[in-house]
Amino acid sequence: MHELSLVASLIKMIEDKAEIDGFIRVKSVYLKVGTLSCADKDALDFAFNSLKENNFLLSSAKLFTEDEKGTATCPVCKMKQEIARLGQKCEKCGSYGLHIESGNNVYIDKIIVEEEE
Amino acid sequence: MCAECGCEGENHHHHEHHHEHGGHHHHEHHNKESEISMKQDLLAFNDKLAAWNRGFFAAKKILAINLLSGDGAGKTTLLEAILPKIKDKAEAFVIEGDLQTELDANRIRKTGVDALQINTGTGCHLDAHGIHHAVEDADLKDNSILFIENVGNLVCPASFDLGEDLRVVLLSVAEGEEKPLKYPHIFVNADALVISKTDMAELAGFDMDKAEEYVKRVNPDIKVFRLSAKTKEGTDSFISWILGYKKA
Repeated sequence: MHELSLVASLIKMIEDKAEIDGFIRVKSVYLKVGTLSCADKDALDFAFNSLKENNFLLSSAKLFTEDEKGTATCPVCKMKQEIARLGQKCEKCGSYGLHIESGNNVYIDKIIVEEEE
Repeated sequence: MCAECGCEGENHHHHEHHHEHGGHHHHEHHNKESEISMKQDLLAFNDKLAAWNRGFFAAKKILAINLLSGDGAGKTTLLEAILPKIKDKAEAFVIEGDLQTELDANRIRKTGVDALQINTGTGCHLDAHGIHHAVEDADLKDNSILFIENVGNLVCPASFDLGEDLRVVLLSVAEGEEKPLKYPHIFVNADALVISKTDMAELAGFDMDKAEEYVKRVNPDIKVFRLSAKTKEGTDSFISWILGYKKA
């Protein structure tokens, strides 16, 4: 359940951002979850709903998670391709050891906030 | 249902203030909504501290090794087996990560190597922040070798860079050779795989060639060692490999 640690850093990042940008409430958090990352969307959701409880900034915020597809390049034939999981072979030449290009991390894409006018 | 899974279903109104945003209240006119682009990796804080640790290890010429595996693959037993030989060639230090107790650190200290225990409470992995504080507390010598024994878990520690130079994953023959395919994340960035408890391989029906083939699908460059900490068979080549990375 390392998703708890991930969400704890998510909250810290948004708090830091609030200090700089001066918003008072967060309405929505949009998270991109790489399909090759080691994070589970349901666990992230659970962690978010647990940790936001006593946080004024985030207590009414909703989390939206969206998959980010994994892409990789074959080290042998150089073909760029979409992959669903780690350890897959190249769809063209059958080689293993594809170099992951994207979809292996989890990041906050954007947030919707309320600011005082 | 809610109590068991912790999920907040539609019937739960923990956040009554949701309704304030329904558009009927006047206070909304005083606030405006806006979108802020973030594009920030959730591991950014961990990675920043990992970079700090890496710089610290480089400055003191410390070889830092992150030892990972599932529960009970024999990380501590492997350390007990190799430390007596390692400490003849280099200063060694061990950071032990467990949810609770000093048991593992005490086992290490019996080999004559100093150890620091990190108790993560319920935390399922070590992170760069914990290591950052541990290396401040530990009396680490220049040119030494630091072993960091992670919490036994094949999933969670995988994403957390500690700033290590080498990442070594253990897979015991009791676990099944298909683990690298089922839990690829921990193997994908590893420098070495140690197939441990090889003295039991036949008994467990573990096919070491198959395990090696599977791990190389996930990570073709990984170095594979087959050893038994109990009989010491295969430990010498693992020790030489480690010493080959010793700094200065």
